[in-house]
Amino acid sequence: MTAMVVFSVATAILLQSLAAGHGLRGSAQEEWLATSIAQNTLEAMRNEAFRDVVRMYDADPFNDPGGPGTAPGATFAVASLDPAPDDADGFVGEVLLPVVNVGSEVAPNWQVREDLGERLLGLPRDLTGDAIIDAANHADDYRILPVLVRVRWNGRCGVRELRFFTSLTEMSS
Amino acid sequence: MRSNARSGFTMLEVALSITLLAIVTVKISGAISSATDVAEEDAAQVTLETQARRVLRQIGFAVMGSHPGSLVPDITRPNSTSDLRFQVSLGVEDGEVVWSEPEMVAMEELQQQIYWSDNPEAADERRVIWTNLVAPFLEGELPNGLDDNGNGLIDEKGLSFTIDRNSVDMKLTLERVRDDGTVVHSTVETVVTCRNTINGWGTAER
Repeated sequence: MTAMVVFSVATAILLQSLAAGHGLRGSAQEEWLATSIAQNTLEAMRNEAFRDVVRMYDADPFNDPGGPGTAPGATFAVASLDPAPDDADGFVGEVLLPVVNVGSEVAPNWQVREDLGERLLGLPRDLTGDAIIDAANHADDYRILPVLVRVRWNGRCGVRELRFFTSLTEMSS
Repeated sequence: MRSNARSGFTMLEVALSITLLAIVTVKISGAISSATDVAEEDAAQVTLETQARRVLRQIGFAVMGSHPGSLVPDITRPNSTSDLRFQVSLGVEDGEVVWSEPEMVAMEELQQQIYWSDNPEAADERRVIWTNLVAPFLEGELPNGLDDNGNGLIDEKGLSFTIDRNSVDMKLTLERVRDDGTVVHSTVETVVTCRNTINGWGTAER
């Protein structure tokens, strides 16, 4: 009887460790997928004309360079990653830029600002290279663009979040 | 007065115990065996995925330093190529950018290899094999003139490149046959934007 119990416990531990390994692989795969999508998003942003990046990746679909709703926008979904339960927009991916809506919900007015915005982007900071932080709209004269791509999902091990930060600058072509 | 009753198990009890033990052992060994199979499959898959990502990262870093104007062939969706030539900047000499000899990342289908080549097809060509597990076609794709796997490409090989302005979309499928005859696949993809977009490529000596 004692031998049976010991044998059963040992077997259960073995099976549990094998199952945990399987789960760990799934979790690693989720992380790799999130990393890959975030990197691809950053590479896609680099491939666009520098002056168009903000208009393409901000939350305003009406200022897209190719016409309303033609650009990727500020959020994206990732196949096989579920949004976190508290995610309001239901998208796991988000692109953060130094833009703020100084208008209203009904009449938005998105501006590239040095003095307001996401602290994760290092704001307030100089975006034009003039060593001055002001309250003007720099949509047409920004020279450095901090970008943060955030992927947040409901994974096997709970809610996970990865952030990728970079700065884009104008490159000749 | 000593008792005459015998201690121990009856034959029926022993037989029942042995039968139960045998059933439990068979069930447990079955469970362990299937769990071990899953673990082995996982290990094979993880190994292949790791290798696929490593190879793709190597290709990405190689292409990242090139000038988009040097990419040959300049091929766009739905077509793709499995051989990509490019040139990278080696530095500046007398105010002029010095470009490398052509480099190539290509797929050798018969050998199932992906190799990097310096000065391809020249007498002094150097080749470095990056993997020998590449699949003939990308996972889910058949050579039938259709987009079988729904990724927007037609008849793409196990290593495929498409170019969109300054960026290169790369897809890779590695495959390995396990000891039990099953085939494990791993497909990875990435996009890399050429960083070396300095002016003057058109006039550069190639």
